[in-house]
Amino acid sequence: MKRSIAAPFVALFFAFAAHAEDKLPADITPPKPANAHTITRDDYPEISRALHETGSVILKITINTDGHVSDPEVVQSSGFPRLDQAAAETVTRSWLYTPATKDGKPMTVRTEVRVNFLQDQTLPALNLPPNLPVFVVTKGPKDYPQSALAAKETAYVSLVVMVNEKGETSVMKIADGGAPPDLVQATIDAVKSWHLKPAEWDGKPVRSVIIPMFVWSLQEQPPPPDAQKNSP
Amino acid sequence: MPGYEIVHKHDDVAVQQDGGYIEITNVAYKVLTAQGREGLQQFEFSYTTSYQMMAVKDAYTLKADGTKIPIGTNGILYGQGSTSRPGFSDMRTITVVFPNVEVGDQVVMTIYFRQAIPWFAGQFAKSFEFTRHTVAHDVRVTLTAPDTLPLQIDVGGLDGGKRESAGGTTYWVWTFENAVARRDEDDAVDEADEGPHLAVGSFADFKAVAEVYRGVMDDKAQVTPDIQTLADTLTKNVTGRREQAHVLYDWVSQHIAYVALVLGAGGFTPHEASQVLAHKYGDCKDHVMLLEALLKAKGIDSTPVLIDTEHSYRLPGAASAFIFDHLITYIPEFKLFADSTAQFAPFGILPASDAGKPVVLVASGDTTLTPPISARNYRLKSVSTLTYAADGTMTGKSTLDAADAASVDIRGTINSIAPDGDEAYLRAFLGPGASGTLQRGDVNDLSSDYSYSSSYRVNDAADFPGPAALPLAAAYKPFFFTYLIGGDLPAARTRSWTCPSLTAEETVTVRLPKGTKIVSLPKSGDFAAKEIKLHIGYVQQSPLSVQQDVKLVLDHPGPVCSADYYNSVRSLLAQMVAALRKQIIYR
Repeated sequence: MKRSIAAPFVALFFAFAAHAEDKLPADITPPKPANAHTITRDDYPEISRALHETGSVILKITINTDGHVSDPEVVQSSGFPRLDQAAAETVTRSWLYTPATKDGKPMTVRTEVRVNFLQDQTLPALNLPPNLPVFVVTKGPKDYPQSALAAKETAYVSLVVMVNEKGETSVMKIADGGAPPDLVQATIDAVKSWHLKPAEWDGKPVRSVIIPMFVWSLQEQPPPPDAQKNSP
Repeated sequence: MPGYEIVHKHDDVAVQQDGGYIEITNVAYKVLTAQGREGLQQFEFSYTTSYQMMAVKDAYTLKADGTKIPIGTNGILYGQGSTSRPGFSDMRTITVVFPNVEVGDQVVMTIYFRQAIPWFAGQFAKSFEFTRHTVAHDVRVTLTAPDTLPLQIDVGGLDGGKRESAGGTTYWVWTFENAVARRDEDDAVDEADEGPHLAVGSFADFKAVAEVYRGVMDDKAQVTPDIQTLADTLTKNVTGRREQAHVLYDWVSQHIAYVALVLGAGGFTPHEASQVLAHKYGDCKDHVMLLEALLKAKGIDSTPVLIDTEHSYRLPGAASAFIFDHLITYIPEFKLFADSTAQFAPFGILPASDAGKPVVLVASGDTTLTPPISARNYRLKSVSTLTYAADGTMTGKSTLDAADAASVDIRGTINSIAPDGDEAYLRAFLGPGASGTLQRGDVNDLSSDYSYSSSYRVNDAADFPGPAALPLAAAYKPFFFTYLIGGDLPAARTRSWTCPSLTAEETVTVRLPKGTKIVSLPKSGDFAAKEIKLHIGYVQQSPLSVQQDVKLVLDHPGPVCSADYYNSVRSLLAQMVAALRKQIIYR
C-alpha cells in the first residue's frame, strides 16, 4: 500500500535517525541518507501513541548498492517490541541511501542505526486511560489488626479494584492465596477507604481498574515480592 | 459477492495485564458495485459503557480521483441502546455515515476500542474474523501482550506469528490476503471452522472458561423460600424425579418471557433466580438460573451449558469465554439437555440450532456434544387428499404430524402465522386462487408431538379434459422434498455444510373428476445416495384415483457433512429431485 506522508506531522513527530555506524575501513566512503530519515505519523503505530510508548531502537541494517535497506535486526530494543518492529519496517520501506563506495564503486555495507520514537507532548493525545499498573502497597505492624498482630501473621493479598467516575473504589476480585481472613478483611477495608483520582478519557472521568497488591509484613522492610507473578 | 473489497485492514491490539485491551483498527473498503455502496455508506458500532470505550476517528470518503471528503461532525451519530431491555441500559451506538460515496471510491476510518474493564478479571480472549468471500489486499493483525499473561493461539490460513519479545512484552504479526472472492455457499459451516482463523486467549483451556462462568453464576441459582414454594407447588402430585424436572421445565419455558439477548450482549452475569421469578422475564442466563434453582429445590442437580447456536461446530484451539452466544441446561441424572428459552421445545428435545454442537458444561468444565438431530428424532408425516372437480377446482385436506425435534420447528412456523393469516400462508404454498384455513391445534401444549390440519381450495388448479399433466406435489405441507434433499442443489461445494437429518413422509391421494382417464403414472422407484434414501411409490387405486407415497430419510451421522460427500452424491440427488417432479398424465 502506498503511504502518504502527512506533512504537518513530520514536524510534530520529528525523529532522529542518528547513525552509529560501525567503523568502516578508511578506503570506504560511508553511505549517506538520500531522503528524509524521519519517523512520520504513518510510521508511528497509532496504538503505540495511544499507550504513550516512546523510545530508541538500534537496528543493524544492510545498505545495498541500490541505496535500499534490507535485513533489519534489532540490536537494542526500545523496550516496546511494536516500536522495534515499526522501526524495522520504516527503514526498509522508506529510507534511501547514497550507497557506500570503494574505489568509486557502490558496495553493500552492514551498519547500525538508531531510530527514535518521540511523541510530541503538544500533540492532541488520544487520552485513553493509562495502562493501569500492578502496584504494591506495603503494610507494616502499625497497620495490622490486633488479632493478626498477636498471631504474627504475614500475607500477600492481590485485588482487582474498580475505580468509578467519582474515584470511589469497589473490589471486583481477590486473590488471597490462603491469607488469614483478618488480613484479607483489613485489605478490603484499606481499599474501601481510598478515594482516587478517576481515570479520564476524552476529558471525562471514566471507570477503570487497578490491581493493587498488599504485602502484610511484620518486618520494617519486607522483601520485594514478585508483583507480576502474584497478580491475579 | 459482497460488492466491495478490502483495500487494507490493520488491526492492532495491545493486551493489558488485567485482561483488558486496546484495539485500533484502520480500514479502507473499496466500493465495487451499487449494492456494495449501500453496504458501505453507513456503519454501526456498539459498545457497553461500563466496560468499554469506543471512538471512530479520521473517517473519510476517498474519491477515485484521490480527493478526501471527511465525514464531518454530522457524519457521526451517537445513540443509546435499547434501554427497555435489561442489560442494555449502558449500551451505546456509534453510527458513521460516509458522504458522497460512489462506485470506485473508498471509505476509510480508524476505530478505537478499549476493553477498559475485562469481562472476566485477569483473562483475555479474542477471535479475529477473516473471509475468503471478499477480495482482501492487505489484512494485518498485530498483537502485544505482557509475558506474564501467557496466551494460547489457534491460527490457520494466515502468515506470520511471533515476531519479537522485549521489555516483558511479546509481539505477534499475522497477515492475510485473498486475491479472488469465493462464492458463498448456502448452509456452509462458519468460515473459522475450516478457513482462515485466529483465536487468541489467556484461558488455559475450557475448564478455565467454565471456572470464570462459575464465578459469576455460582450464587445466582439459590433456592429462596419463593422458589422452594413454587417448586413444591408445581410438583405436588408428581412423584417421579424426571417427571418433576419435566414440570419445572415446562413452567419456566411457558411463564418466563424470553428477552432475546445473546450471551455477552447483556453481559455475562445472570440475575438471581429469585429476581427472575419475581419479574417473570429474563435472557438465556436468567432462564438457566431459575430452572437450576427450581430443580435444586427438588434435589435435582443441573449445570449451565455454554453453546454457540450459529454455524460453528468446532471449539477453537485457544479456549475462549466469548465464542458462545447462548446458555442452556444439562441434567446429568437424566443425561438430558434442555433449552427453556426455545418456546416450543418439549422437555428433552433441543431445537435444531442447539443440536450436535460442541458445548462446555459449566459445573465440570468438561466439553461434550449435544445430541444431534437424526432421522429418528426429527420426523414429519403429511397425509393429504386432493379432489379435482370438472371445472378444474381442487379441494384438499391435509394433516401434518411433527414428531420430536420436528415439532419444535413446526410449532414455531404455525405460531408465526397471524391469526387472520391462514389464507395468505396457504397461498404462498398453493399459488394464486387458493383459499383455506388451518386447524392449528395448541402450539403451546408441549406434552406430546404436534399435529395440525388444513382444508383448502384452489381455483383453476387443473384443466379438464386433458390430455394434460398433473403434478402430485400439489398438496399443502410445510416443507418441500426437493429442498430437503439438497437445498438449492449447488453444482458443487468447497466447504463443509450443515446437512440435515430427518424422516419426511407424505401420502397423497388424488381423485379426478368423472369423464377423465388416467393415461400414465410415473414409475415407482427407490433411490439411495449414501445417507440419503428416497422412496416414491404410485398406486392406481381406481380408474380415477391415484395414491402417491414418498418417504425421504436423511440420516447423516452428525450435523456437518464434507464438501467431498456432497460432491460425490450430488448427481444422485439431482436424479431424486427430477423423480419428484414427474407428473400424472390424464385426458
